[in-house]
Amino acid sequence: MSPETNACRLMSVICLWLTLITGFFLGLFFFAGTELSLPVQLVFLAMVLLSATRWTGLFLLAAVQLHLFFAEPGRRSSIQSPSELLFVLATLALLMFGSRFATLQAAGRLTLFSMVRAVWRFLASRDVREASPLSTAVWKSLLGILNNLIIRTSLLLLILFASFMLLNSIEISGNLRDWAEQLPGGERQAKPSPWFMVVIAAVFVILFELAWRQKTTSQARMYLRSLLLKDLYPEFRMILSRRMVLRRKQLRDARRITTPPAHNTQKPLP
Amino acid sequence: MTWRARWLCLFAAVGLYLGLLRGQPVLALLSMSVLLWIGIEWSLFLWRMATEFSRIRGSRLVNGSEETGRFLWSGRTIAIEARLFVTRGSFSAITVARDVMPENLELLPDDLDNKYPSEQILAGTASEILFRYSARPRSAGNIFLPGFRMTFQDPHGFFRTERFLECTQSFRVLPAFTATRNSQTLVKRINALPSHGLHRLQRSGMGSELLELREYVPGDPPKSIAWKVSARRDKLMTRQYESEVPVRLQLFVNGSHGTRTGGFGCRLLDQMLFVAASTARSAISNGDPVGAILFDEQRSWRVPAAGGERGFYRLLEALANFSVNPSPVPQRLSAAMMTAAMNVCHERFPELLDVSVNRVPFTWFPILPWSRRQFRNRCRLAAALAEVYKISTQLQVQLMHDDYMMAVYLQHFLTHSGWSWMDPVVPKRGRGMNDGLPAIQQISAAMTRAVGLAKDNEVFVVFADLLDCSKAITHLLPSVKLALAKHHRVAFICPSPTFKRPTKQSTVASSDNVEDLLFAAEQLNLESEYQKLKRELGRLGASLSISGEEQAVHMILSQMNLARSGRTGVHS
Repeated sequence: MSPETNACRLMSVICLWLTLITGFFLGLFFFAGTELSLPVQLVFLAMVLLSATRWTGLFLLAAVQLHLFFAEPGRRSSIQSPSELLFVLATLALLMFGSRFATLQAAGRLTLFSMVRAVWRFLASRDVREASPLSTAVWKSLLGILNNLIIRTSLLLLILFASFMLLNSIEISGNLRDWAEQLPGGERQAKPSPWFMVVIAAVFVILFELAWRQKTTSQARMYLRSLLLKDLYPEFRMILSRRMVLRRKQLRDARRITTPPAHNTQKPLP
Repeated sequence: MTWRARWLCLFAAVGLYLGLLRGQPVLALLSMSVLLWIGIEWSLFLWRMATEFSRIRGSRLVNGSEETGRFLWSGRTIAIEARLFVTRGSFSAITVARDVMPENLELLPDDLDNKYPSEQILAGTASEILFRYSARPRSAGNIFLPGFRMTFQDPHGFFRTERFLECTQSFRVLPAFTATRNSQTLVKRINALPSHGLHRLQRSGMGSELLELREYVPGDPPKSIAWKVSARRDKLMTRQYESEVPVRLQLFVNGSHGTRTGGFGCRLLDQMLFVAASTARSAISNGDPVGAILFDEQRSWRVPAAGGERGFYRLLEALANFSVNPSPVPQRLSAAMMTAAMNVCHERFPELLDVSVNRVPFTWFPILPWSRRQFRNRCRLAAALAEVYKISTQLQVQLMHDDYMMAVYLQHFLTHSGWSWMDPVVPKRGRGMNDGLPAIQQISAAMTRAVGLAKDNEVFVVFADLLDCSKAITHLLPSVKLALAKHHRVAFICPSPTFKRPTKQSTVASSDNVEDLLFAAEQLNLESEYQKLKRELGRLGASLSISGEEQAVHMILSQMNLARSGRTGVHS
């Protein structure tokens, strides 16, 4: 077994634990001070636990969004308390760890049993202080993955900060009715929108250009061919159908020539 | 972008919209963070793909060598070491690399845990991906290693792209053989041993061993006059010496469609090649030259008889070439064939199936969603084939609509991708569905031709699936009679579909299990056909055996011993 595969298995286990721990903390945030019934809490925890086999991040996000949609009061001000920021961070972290675990599991075709066995072997080799090259290599690979994970988590913090700053720059309306009332004079809300549109469009153009430039020569050839086919398809189709009809007719004629007619075979020989 | 990212984007966009409208900052913040996160992951992924893939290089060592075009042996384990590296920078997470293996190469698991030894997953960062594994060629023929299929993903599974990194290597696989015990007796039975590869033949000739004494006939060489005996008998007597001739072994291998059908290593042809190679090894060890006539429905090759190691390897190479499956007989297009070709295309040419470049022209028909999906898949496959085989756009449209042409191209594509002749490449065919007349005619023609080219005292060994065409055996008998009349020995080796000779134990089912019952029934059928054929051929003086075990090789060697001694007799 290669060190990379072993490290992948160990990382999957770490991600699974991080998912469960984050889910537990999110649950604490989620249900603190609410009157949600126990079954709802259990369903939430079950969804977190389901991450062990299936990626349920989408449903978790939907559940959190629904909860916020119904439970969060509409207000003019922005984020007020750090606990709200922590709540968003916990949700994002849960999504990140869960998706990472699911991706590793799918890419490595890992089962829970194989992951547990990898951890057991790794720990056993550490216990007896075996400084084998394999365990050292696994440890090295694992450190690399953990390093990557830390970078991504830091990135998540940056993303949260950027989103926070972006939202603070926009005047959020109190609710739908207030927003509708403010519409005639709602210049402040509408003011940043063009800038956002321009920035988003520019980013998309750059990204699409980057994606297009990555195409290989054969892909470019195929794209040109598909464009040509798109334009000339009806003509080609018409020519081809004519040819196919003609070929069928020729085959039918050839068969008629080679096989004697039925009435001749019935005729008695002289 | 994967479906996971698409759904997340949709939910996040809706959440952001509602959060901004309703003035719910936490909902808006969460949704915007998710959108921003996916956007940043996308840009990072694109940047990674732009910088990383073009710098990836691959190399592969097979048995410690990077050379292509070398020889491998069927059934022998080979060690493969594949290495992927980037010329500058390092691999990022997550990269899955897989060395694409043809069907003729059997992967051997390195330990109990790893079911996919030719695959390597990189979850962190590294400068190179290295993986070692063992494999074993299943049958003689060709092995083509095209390269590495690489899957790049971002760490969260939002974006994924598949690319193929070419690293081609091709090998010629020689058939396996077994070294049988040397059948030449060690007891010296004769006064003067002939040189290596020459054998005594109890006919008059210019050998060194005395055969008989006879009366002098004018024209006999004076030095062969036996003076003492002449003095005793009072008339001139001359010595008659034995002939010393090489015993040539002529192998006839029939590679008709029926013998090529099946998975690599399980074909009837593989059995025949194994026995042929083993026999050739033994014969060449005894100094006898070995030649071969290889034929199928379309082609026929003659390998001139030769001895020594060079002759043996030349024969093996010819057998390996013959073992490569040609393009099969065209058959009807089936859904299974389309699915198989699509899978191969996904494996070998993933970038050609990218929907952003492989666009399908709009048509109103077919209307039904399932049919429409099938048509779209067919269009995409036709475009990929058009790019692979460099055919015109007009032919591409023909592939989209002409079933016959599509079937021909798909069969060709699958065969050249290393698929064996099994369903869906060739249709399933039951045994005994034909009378085998064409195959018998081919064998008969090959034998007649060989008799015309043969010299004295040859052993003809015919490897053919006679059990499948026993009904037409009478068409073969004239050529067998001709060969026997020319003092050649003739032996037939029939491959067994069960790889076992029928015995008393094997013809009785060991349990009520369906597989055991079927096996016993097959063995019974085989036994009855074998006995019928044996009786028919034995009446003429030809031998018959079933391959799959060493008995077949021993039978051929005993025939060669008979040919050496010049005795007559049937031994099977």
